[in-house]
Amino acid sequence: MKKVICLLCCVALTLSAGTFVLAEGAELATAASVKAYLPTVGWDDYTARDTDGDGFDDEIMISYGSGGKTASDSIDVYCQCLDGAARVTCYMCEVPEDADPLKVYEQLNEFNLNLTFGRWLYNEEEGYIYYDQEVYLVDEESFGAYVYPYMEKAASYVYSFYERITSAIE
Amino acid sequence: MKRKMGLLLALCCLLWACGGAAAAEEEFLYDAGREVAVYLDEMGRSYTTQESEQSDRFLIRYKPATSTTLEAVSVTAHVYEDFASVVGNNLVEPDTSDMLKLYQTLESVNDGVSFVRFLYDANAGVIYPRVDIPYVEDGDFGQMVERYLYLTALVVDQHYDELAALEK
Repeated sequence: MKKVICLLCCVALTLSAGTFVLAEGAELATAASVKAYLPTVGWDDYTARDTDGDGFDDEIMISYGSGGKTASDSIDVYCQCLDGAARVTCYMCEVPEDADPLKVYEQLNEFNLNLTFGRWLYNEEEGYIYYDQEVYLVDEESFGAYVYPYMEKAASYVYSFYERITSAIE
Repeated sequence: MKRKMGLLLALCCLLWACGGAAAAEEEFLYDAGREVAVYLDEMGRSYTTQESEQSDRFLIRYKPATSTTLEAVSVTAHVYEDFASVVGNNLVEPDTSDMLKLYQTLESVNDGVSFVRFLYDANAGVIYPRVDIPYVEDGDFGQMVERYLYLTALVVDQHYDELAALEK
């Protein structure tokens, strides 16, 4: 919740007055752009959901096969669309209850230092590591093209580093 | 007629020289870098370029509005062929006597901000902010980079005091 408020504040502070007025009852430009772009890079079968009940999709998900590299059959990457920005998230792994938190944070910091296009966070309360990155809307037409690389990277990193991070924190 | 042609030719030469001089004035490694420069110039944004063999670099200094201790926030865009990395200057040299506390505080800050992440570089012993942006052709890339430069400075300004509490 804190992050969503911060995200909205950042977007609000950088918007020009009147530039991003959303017509009542219209799909978010961010969602429309992502949905339009994904099929152009081979993602016709994305899943779109209306999470806020306004009748328009605002969450888009693409699902990659994990190839047995993770604990799940799939690597699901979500794009939560907002007015003026979007948030890309992807679950990495569960953190065992008896894991040394210092080891977890050291591993995360190493990821954040050496990997690109996003940040890795540890939800200590619920015990899992995840990818998180917000994307700012500058141009409606190209917004989807900006979002997709983050989604692709997130899945790629989960696929490539799942074993490494789970071994490091067990 | 001859005189008019001569004047016209001289004018053409003058215009060509000016255009050439402008282009030659700034040499960029990448088209992406040129796009950033063009946009910043169009916006009248004051910046300095830094020489590098790896990337086109643009540094902007912002005046903080929130922080009570920062005098300026410097942010640099390192622009490569297919992405830009926006990096803030080193903010704090944290106390490393309790690494778990350091990481938990950093995590708490990162969890509460958007667009940017704060990193701890153990080799350099500093915390600094960073965000990467992919290059999209015909995607107003210059404007994207400019916005992320600003957002990075904004986030630093808003959260510097929290990070400064980690200092030695």
